[in-house]
Amino acid sequence: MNQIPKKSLRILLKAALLFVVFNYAFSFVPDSVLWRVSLFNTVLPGEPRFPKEGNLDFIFNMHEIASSPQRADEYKVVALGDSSVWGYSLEPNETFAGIINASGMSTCKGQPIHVYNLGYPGTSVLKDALILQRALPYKPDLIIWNVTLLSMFDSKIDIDFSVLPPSNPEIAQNFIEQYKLSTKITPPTGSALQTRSFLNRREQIARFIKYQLDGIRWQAVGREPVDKATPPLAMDVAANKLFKRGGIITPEVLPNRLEFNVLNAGIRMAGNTPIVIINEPILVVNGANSGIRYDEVYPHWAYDRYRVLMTAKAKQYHWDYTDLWNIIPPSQFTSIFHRTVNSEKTYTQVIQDIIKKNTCP
Amino acid sequence: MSILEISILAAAALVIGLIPRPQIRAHLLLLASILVVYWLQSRAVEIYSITYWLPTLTLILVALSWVVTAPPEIRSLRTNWPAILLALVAILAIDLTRYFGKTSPVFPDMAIPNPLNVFLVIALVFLAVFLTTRLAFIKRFSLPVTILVILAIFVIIKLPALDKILYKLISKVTGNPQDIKDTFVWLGFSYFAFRILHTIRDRQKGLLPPVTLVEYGVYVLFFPSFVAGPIDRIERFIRDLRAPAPLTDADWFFAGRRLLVGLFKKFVIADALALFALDPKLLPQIHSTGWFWVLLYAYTFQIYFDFSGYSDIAIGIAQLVGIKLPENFNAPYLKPNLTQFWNNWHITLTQWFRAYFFNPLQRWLRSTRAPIPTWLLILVLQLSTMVLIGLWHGILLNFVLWGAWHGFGLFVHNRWRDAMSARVSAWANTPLRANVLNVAGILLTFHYVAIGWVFFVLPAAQIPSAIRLLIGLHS
Repeated sequence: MNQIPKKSLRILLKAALLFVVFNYAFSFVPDSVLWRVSLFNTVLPGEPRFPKEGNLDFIFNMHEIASSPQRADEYKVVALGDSSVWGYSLEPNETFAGIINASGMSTCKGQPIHVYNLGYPGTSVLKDALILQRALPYKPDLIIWNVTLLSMFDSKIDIDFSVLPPSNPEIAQNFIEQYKLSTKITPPTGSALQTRSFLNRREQIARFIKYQLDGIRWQAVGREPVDKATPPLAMDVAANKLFKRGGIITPEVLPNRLEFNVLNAGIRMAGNTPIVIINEPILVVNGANSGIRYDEVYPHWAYDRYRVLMTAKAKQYHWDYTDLWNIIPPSQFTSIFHRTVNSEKTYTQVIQDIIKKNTCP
Repeated sequence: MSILEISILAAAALVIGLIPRPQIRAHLLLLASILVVYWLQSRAVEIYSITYWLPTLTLILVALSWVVTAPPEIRSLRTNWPAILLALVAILAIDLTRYFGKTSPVFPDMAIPNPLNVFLVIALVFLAVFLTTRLAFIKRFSLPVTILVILAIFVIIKLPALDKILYKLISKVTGNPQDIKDTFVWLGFSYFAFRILHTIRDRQKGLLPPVTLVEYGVYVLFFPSFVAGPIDRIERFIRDLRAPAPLTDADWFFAGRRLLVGLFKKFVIADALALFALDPKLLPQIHSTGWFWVLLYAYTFQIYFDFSGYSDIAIGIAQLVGIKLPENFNAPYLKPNLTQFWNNWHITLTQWFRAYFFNPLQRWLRSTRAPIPTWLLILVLQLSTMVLIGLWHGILLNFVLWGAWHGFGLFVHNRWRDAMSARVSAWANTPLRANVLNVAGILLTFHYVAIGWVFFVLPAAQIPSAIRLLIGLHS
């Protein structure tokens, strides 16, 4: 009869103990070290957009901005915002950042302009601020920050509209405390030892490795084409004036729920680097009930109030603010925020004018 | 197979390995192997009741092959009734899970036929066994007919055109909607067919040891090696099965190490390389010769780590039940010539072809009245053997080309060795020169094999453009 020999059992036990030690010792490996070992920006060029991952070090080490110090002569424009900046249903070269980079645009002094697409899916101005904080060491020359009513809305809600702040709780909390913000983020469940253990991070590590290998394939054969969303969208909207964001929002409550303080903190953090705040285009429907709602998300009262407040705050704090909310016709949207390839070209022209204004005063 | 499925197989082997009596252990191995055949088939393909009938047909083929190969004295019901009962109970029990429908805890994905049909088929099998063992003229032709049946099935399932026709035919008969898939996969057929053919040929030559049904069944269906080999020899296999030595510490370590190394090779290295390895979908988008080579290298290592990983897993799991399966790979990419490569790549398959095709053909060619020049003899032997090995993977032009590429390479190496070995040995008279020669041989052989994978992985229509990319002549 076979019996599992005692020596084998002892070895198994030792191996299990060693693994437990390794598992928890792994939690002391900082993100800045763990995600630095990357093929991107070393043997492979950096990615033009962030991967849809939560960890800031993870996404930055893959992004082309991580190799930007090697291109000291360029004029660096950093574009912040949500999935409309990231380019939902667009190829990287179809986003306004991609179009400008392909155009060979340069400053009046002949400095080549490169727009770094730091858009990240999800509407949260706190998320944008955290990305900006991480991008500032790369010394951008200009920051273009796209916002909308949803991204300006506070984070004190049950629904996470961006995975980034809760995925980087320490960084987010430090930012909140540094700028004395009232914003709260969902604290992670479990101790750091547990959440940062090897077992807990194994899927993220696997995805990180997979991105590296995908990167080799992308270099050889190009990326897989993006699934295209196509208009037309329904132009009729519900006959009500409700504005919902983690519950129904009333006109009285709205002004206090907008995170101008977070936006202002981000602007202060940037110091002397010029920042252009853009109220990004939204879908403005023209069908039934378009007199009371702009689209399924925004009733007129809420969005109009937001625009008035934004303009007032911009004036108060001397922000360079441009309101582009209705420059794209409704036929050129693939969802309430996302634009078609054609409309992206229109949007690009406006952004190019803004960059020109900043580079050729 | 997934890691979970492999873990389940390893756990089953661990439990069975703890059974002290070889007879009980062998019967449990048969039961486990039968269940695994159904289980894996249900995960490989879901085509109406074919998913049930293919494993059932596997068992029928195994039973009939045993009947025609076993000597009469070993076929007695008294000796074999436990195995027969076990197989029947397993077949019927699996069939009865049809009444669980989609909530079946065992085979939720398998569409299972009416038990009456299963009873009818079993009755027909018993009738066939009765006739085969009683009627002299059937007995006389039973061995060659079994070979022909297996080869015919082989041709049908490996030839896509015939496979499609058969699929449509079965779909029509069973009322299966024809738009699900247009071919089916008979899981493990390539391997168990070779084991059966080996026993039949050895029986014809009088070399086959007498084995009971349970021994024969475990040999052919042995679950650790059912899907991807290695292809063991029955006389060696039953020695372990009949008298499994108690596992020592070294055996446990060996099993554990092979299992872990196999899992690492398959699920870490091979699956990672698969993300950018050369394949027909990627080829049209490759824009440079350099990247083509990167993807080709990735495929070259992917196929090795995938296949040798599965072999390691099989060897490790088999060790847990006291069976020492033969090695299938021995660092083939580090061999200095193509002949050595083929002595160390998928070893059990090449040994099979050597024993049942190459050697008999060589004997036959040498016995012909008109003497055949040596070079022609070698060319015919190598080309035909390698093309046949190519066809074993599928009856398609690209596999023929792959086989021919290797057959030609083996021929050239054979001629080179005969003509040059003395001079080469004389030149490589210092350790440095011998090392240089060895490294050059490894690099040359590796790249010859790597280029050969182009024919293997790509359909024939893509091969011209692949070759243009390979040599930098693409537009």
